[in-house]
Amino acid sequence: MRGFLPPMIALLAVFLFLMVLPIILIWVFPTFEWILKVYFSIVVYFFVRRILGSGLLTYVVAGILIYIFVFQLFLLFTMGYVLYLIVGLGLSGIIVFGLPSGGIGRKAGAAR
Amino acid sequence: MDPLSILLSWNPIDWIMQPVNDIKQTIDLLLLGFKLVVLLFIVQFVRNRFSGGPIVTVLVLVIGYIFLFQMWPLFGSMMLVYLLIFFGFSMLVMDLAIAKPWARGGAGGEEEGEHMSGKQYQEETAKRQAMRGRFFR
Repeated sequence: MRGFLPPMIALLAVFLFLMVLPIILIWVFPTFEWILKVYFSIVVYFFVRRILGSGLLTYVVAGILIYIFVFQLFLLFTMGYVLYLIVGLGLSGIIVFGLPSGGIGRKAGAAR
Repeated sequence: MDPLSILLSWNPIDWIMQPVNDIKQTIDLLLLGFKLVVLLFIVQFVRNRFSGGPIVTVLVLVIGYIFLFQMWPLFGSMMLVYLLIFFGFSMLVMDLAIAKPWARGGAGGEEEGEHMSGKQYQEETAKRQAMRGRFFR
């Protein structure tokens, strides 16, 4: 467990930092909150429209989802969306492979 | 209100339970949103298989009722796992399984002393340059 925990905690810390980064940005630039809210609303609306098509039902369902996720659970949704972006775009591989190894400066013949 | 009546009306259990109730409300709201998303996935699933008509509505209602109200603990957890795989979280697990950061000595791993000091790095670089000079004269 001694060897398992430190790199996993380091990884978790990096992921948590990236997830909290937009919240820090919101804290520094309050306008960023509204930019994100508008962006998330558009994302949710297009997600619903892709499934239900254009119509009144789309507006109703998208409105409910936007109210719940974008306005009520904004911080949670922001953190989840950042995590989804990191994993979805394959950036998690860079973090996992890049963080703990320290490629330059390894002893020759060290276990990889 | 006078301070004494405020003190007498103060209920420590309410004070302790307030954050718990807030978290419970947040979880309930999250579950409601998740149920709506699951319903959307059911609609998409049924629409992909049946072109249209009343059968789509009937199937969505029946499957939605079974999934969301009858067997929610089972299907909810299944949908959560499905969505995690769908959004690519399995790649993260695979990356971790391949990279094995806990077995590589980095960030305080088991194999201590794997990384070189500055002097060792200089020696290693000198050796490499010597090797290179031997081959590319």
